[in-house]
Formats: sequence, structure tokens, C-alpha cells
Amino acid sequence: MHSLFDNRHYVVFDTSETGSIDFTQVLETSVNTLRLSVSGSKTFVKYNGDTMPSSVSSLTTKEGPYSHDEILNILTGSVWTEPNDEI
Amino acid sequence: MAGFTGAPPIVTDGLVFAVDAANYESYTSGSSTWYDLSGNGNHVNLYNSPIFSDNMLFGDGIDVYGRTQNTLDLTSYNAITIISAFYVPSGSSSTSLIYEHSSNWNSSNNNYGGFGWAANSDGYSFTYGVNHVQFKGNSGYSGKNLNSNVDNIGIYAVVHDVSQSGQDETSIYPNGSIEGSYGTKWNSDNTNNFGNEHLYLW
Repeated sequence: MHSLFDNRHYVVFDTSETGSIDFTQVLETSVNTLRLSVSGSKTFVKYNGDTMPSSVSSLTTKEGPYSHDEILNILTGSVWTEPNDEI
Repeated sequence: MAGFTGAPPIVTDGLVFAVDAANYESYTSGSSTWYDLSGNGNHVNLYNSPIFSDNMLFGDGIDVYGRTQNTLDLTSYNAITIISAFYVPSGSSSTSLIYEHSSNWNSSNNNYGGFGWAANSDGYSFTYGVNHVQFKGNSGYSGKNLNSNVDNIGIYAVVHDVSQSGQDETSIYPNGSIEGSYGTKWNSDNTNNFGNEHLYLW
């Protein structure tokens, strides 16, 4: 099924490399708005299209790229979500 | 015949905050600011690239969010009404907050009501197709769950009124109707007014 987010791709990497991201190349606003894993050791960025931006491609700890559905599934795991989080 | 030189005006008496993605005076495609139409300057900064389509703004359930530039001071109110329009896409696999007054309604220091709407939540964990609304006041939670119309936009009026008895402090009026046949799940009897916090979207 077509989704508004089909064109977006996501790359997970260690937060130690956030200084390498050129935020004009990705869809996150700034280093201050990155979502972190529970431990704070991992984060991710997203971009439109099939071509990975150069500052993302250069990351040495990158995992992915993932689709929207794949990153949603990853984020439900205990690495990214506290098991006892209540809403 | 009457006409408007801009978007049709809205009644702002008693309004604290009003944003409308379909009103070009509130939002234009590509902007990172969602402008408040209430006249109170409570504009929203948008982060991490929401998508604008069909005169609607879409969060992605991943890291898109908005936050009012100012805090919304509701400390003089013991009753508030919030009207929101949204839908839950079919197949969604995570809980998303539609709005939340405070960065965490669960940690309002038990002094005042931090409130919000969560899509795909039963109040505890991810539950597809159930929406959860609550506030947390000085006594505890007042909240209810409502089954959503997946893929259909709903317009939901929520009234939080701490002058009511516990089970009636939170009421939902979906699509102009009176409350449906869902149960009160959290019915603490609160008394304090609401707080002075940023409003978060998604």
C-alpha cells in the first residue's frame, strides 16, 4: 500500500558520530532534535530518495538504510523504547 | 454577498490556541512554523520534517514533533475544551501523541493536570485502533479510551473539568455526538487548576 513515507529512508548510527552529520542534507532539524536510544548510544537520521547523503554515507557505524516500516519495527524494540513506558 | 480578503475569520473569544493546516494564514507548505490563529502568539515550531499533503500535516510516528514557542498558561482554568481533528492510518504499528500539554503528562508533580491524546494506546501500551485521552491532576488520572475510525478523520472535542466528580472529569464528544459506550478507566477526583507548560504535537 502506498504511504506518504515511501520515499524516506533511515540510517541508524552511534551518537558519537552526530558531529559528522550535515543537517542541510537530512530531514532532521538539528543535533538537538535527534531521537536517541534508551541508553543514548544510538540515533538515526532520515532523508528523501534513494541516494544516501554524503555525510551519512561517510558514517563508520551506520546501519541501514531502512524503510519507514522497518524503522518503525526497530523502534518498538527495547533498545529504543523503555519496556515500562506508559502513555 | 460578503467576502473575505484572507482566510475566513474565526471566533477567538476564550481561545488560547488554534492551529489549522488547511488555513493558509496558519500554515503554508514547507514552513517550519505553524501559526496560532487565536491571536495569542502561541505559534508552534515544527521539527524533523512533517509532511504537508491534502491540507493536512502528518507526523511520521518516528521523530517528527511540534512544540509551542511559548508555554500555554492554563493556571487560571479548572475546565478546558480541546478540539482536534486527526485520523489513525491503517496498519500503524506504534503509539503517537496527537497533543500533550507538558513534556510528560505522567510527571506533572501531582500538582496540576498535564493532559493529552494518544493514538493507538489503551493508556498502558500500544493498542491498535484505540485512542486514549487523559489528564493527571493533583489526585491522579482522569481518562478514557475511545475506539478510532481508522483511516477516517474524526473531530474530537475533549472536556477536562476538575469541578466534576471523578468519573466525569474527562468527557469526549466524537464527531459532534455525545459520548459513546466506552468505559471510564481512570477516575481520580482532582481539584487543582491546569498548568503552565509547552504544548507538544505528535
